[in-house]
Amino acid sequence: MSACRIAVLSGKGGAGKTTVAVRLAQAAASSQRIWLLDADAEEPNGALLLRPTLGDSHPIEAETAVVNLDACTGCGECVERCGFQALSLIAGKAKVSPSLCHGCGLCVRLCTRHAIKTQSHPIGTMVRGKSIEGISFLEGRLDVGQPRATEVIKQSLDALIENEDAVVDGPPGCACSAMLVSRRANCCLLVAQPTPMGVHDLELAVEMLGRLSIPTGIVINRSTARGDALVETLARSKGIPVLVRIPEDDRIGDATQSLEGTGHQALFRKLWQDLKEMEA
Amino acid sequence: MKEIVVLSGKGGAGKTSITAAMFALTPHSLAVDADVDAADLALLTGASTIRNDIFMGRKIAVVDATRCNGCGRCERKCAFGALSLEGRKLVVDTMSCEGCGVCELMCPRGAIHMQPISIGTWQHAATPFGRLLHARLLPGEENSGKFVAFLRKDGRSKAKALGCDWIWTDGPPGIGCAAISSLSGADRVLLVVAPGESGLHDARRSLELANQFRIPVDVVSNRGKDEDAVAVEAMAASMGARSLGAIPRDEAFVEAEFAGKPVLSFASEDLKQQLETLCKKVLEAA
Repeated sequence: MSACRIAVLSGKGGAGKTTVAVRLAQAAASSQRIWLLDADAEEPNGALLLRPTLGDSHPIEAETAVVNLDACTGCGECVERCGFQALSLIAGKAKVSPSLCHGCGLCVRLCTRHAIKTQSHPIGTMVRGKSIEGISFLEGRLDVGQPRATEVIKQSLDALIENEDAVVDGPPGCACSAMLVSRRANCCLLVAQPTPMGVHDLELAVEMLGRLSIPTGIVINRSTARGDALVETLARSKGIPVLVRIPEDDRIGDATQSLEGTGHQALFRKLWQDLKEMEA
Repeated sequence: MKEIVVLSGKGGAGKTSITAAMFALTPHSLAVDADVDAADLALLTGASTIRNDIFMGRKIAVVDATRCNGCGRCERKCAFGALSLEGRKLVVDTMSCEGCGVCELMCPRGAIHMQPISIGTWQHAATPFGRLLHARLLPGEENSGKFVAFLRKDGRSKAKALGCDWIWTDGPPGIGCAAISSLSGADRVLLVVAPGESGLHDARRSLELANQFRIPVDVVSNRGKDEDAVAVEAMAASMGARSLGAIPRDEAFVEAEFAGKPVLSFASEDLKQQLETLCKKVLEAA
């Protein structure tokens, strides 16, 4: 991977990932081409702060098993072997629960009557846009009721331009979707909420990143003396640098303020420079 | 026995703080922390572990190199890109493998078998307010939806065994597999809405999800200004949910978090009363 791809994660939700990701992209945009990918597919908020002009959108699709009821004899082989409990026998015919199906195709190959095939169906939407700072914006949005956020994230990561730098606003937590975003990045920024719960979840995120080898830095958001001490203790013990501390200031998360309007542009430019150096 | 799931859509809305308070205010209740990849309810409830077990949550493909001849048939059929050939050597990317078993089925030489692996641990804990069931997904692991389903099922049987009337479930953020898994079969949802446009945007998606499941929803605005409370009330009205007003921003929540307790021991009489009213209304309706 030649371009710089920065994953913004936090463990704890509400730590300020989106705010930091958007302001970081704005800081980068003053000197270069930059992408902002909102990869928090379950709850994408990047556009609410960046306010890009939205362009074309197109559906994101995933494979799901479909049963031809005329051909199905109800033998139950597929029901028994499906690893995701996505099939059940109802009135002597196999029935797929689309919300559980992973589209692996095992049932398709098992069925001696060729009664099952996989078919793609929409699970989300990919939206493109451009901000006034010139940031290329991309959002992967999971449809409500669909479980497969990772598929949406995977396809939106694929849509980034290979050799252009990108800031990727990741999902909260440290399950597979956060892992996916980290694995496709070459540098990770952890946004720390300086409270006991924030630091507890941050530690899980650090542990997750420990399974990869990826340069990582911490930014403390809504910095407070006693909270910062908790983050710093963790950072020291894990050998991760605390790059900057962002003060509590309503202007930073205010969508009507430009980066300059927040009064903290120097801080976010420094953060961008630090991350570029770490990645290099 | 009734189960109430606390959701928010957006992370950091105050789900866990509110759940801890509701749990502490409800006699004969049990709590389940269904946010398995960032479980924090134990941090606010003085939990001490009384049981700790491993959860075998998924399978991965394991290759017998003495049988594999590197034909690549499995690699081409893997829907998750988890298999690759390095020369003639088949390598499994265990983080991408979803354990479906297609490769095992395709292999003409019986060189692949599926092996169950642990995706985390789950705990029963004693708290001053009742039993707490929580879990710890191994960081980066998948199948959190399955883990949530397991934990809730265990919660119901434990609640029954202990004679509990209520289960308070602290839900995960988002609307994906874990959130879906936290909703099926629940009796009621308490939706905690974070202030601002993003809090409202995310809460609306959670409300839409609960509506798809036909679960009745109570909505409460948390930490917001007056205009946030008005917007939350309008959302509830337009989407068929019941609005239960607003919980104000209050330093007591921060103090309680640092002390590792539910907010009640730090709350003013006013705040305590607001939380009691909220709890009473939700329980009455459930």
